[in-house]
Amino acid sequence: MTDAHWLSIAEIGRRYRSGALHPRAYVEGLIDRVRTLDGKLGAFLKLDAAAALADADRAAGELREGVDRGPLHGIPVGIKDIVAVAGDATTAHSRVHDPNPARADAFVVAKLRKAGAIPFGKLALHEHAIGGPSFDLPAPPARNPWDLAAMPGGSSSGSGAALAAGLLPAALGTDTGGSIRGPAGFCGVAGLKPTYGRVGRRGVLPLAWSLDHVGPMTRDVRDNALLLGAIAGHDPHDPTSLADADEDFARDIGKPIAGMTVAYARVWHTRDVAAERETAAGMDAAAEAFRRLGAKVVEIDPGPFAVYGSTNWAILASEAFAIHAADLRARPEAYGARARELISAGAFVSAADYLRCLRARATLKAKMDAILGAHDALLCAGAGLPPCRIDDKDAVQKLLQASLRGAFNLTGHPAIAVPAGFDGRGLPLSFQLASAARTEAKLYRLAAAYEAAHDWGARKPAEFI
Amino acid sequence: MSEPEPATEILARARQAGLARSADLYPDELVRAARGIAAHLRNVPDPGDVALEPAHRFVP
Repeated sequence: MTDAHWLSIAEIGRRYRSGALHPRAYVEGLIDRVRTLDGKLGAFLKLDAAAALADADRAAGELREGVDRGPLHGIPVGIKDIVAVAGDATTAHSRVHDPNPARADAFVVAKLRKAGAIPFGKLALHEHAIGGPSFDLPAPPARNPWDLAAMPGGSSSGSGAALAAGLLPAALGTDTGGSIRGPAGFCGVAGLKPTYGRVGRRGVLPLAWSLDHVGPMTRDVRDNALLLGAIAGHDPHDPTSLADADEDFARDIGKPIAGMTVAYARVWHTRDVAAERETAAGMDAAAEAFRRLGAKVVEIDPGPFAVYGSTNWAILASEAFAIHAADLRARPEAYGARARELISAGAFVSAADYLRCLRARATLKAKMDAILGAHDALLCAGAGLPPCRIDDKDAVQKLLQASLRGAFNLTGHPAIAVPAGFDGRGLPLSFQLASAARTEAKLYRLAAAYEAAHDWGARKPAEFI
Repeated sequence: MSEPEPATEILARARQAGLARSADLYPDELVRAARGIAAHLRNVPDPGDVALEPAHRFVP
């Protein structure tokens, strides 16, 4: 099947059901691509081809017998390797991990299996979802398919890279300060951080309990909504899980957006992080595109981004240090230098400072609630800078400081990274949309309207066609 | 702009936090980490005399 590797989840499903595509043939094609292409990409830490093919045969058999589990039936989904898959060790892309195979699937993997999806490999990440890109770990960092020398974003770097390279149609990411939206933005795919608690986290190694989110990464917006529909849902064993009923998150895709209101936090990338020229121009072009689609776009000032970003970072470092303290004290040399430095920062946050951050968080959340209550969505840049070289430590640090994503981990609101074209070097541009808690369907409606008005998805990375 | 905390004080604090091995092996990392997080903490507002309890279970 020519170019089947670029098909959307929705189209794969249609072809499975019409008989135009067989799950085994599709999965075999992806396995061949991983074997052929991933050597230069590094997106996969492990791929159990035999298990994936057995799952594909099972999916095909069920369809033959009239058992249809829905849109994810027979769809391979890559798993970021901090998410437990029964039988595999969860490595966190680190020497510091439990070497024993996981005895059970994470909640989200169990949900995927129930939806008929095929767990398709354990994907690379920045060490323990924070420290990267790192060249001092047993496995190299994932690369950006659009430019193998460029930063792919992190920490869900393998997820973003594998999608952009056409090695799979869907992947799980996690996001504590932008780790879904960052690689989605830099690799030119769609990535959603859901409302806090929307997707259960049992079986996912934590980075920072009160900021961690699991979410969907895909090449287009509708696929993202389909994947979220498969993984969202209440987990009675996860005290942070929202007790919400299942939801069709794609239900409003295709509806017009005329009359919807979009608050544009332009000041975040003009005043607060001094965005590079093409990034700023891309943001204004996105705002104009929403205006052309009939939305009412108004510039607003949510307050200095640093207040949100720094509060998020201080909470993140504190909680991450609490999780890693014993290992950092006993065997710091087992960590990569980048993770060790970033997590150790939490040792210098006092209890009083941590509590000040939590109290500040409540006021900032209330402020964002008011903005998102008065508008359908907030439009902002994902970062002020484009991807830098992956091996330039100083530039990577500047890129981290130019991130505009942590605000929504802090406040818990859903936010999506949407592909928005390419810069002069051919690297992807992207923007973020955020909305009120539990309104992911509205984000998908807006993002899909923008996506339908453009043709960014037609362009593929030259080395991976 | 306040003066950065001296490296010797940072490393003493690291040892108090149980990071003696890192203080011996990776002192520069710890100094960067401490100064970096201090810069972040300076950006965090103090809500002041507002009756806000830190949430034990954060609910958006």
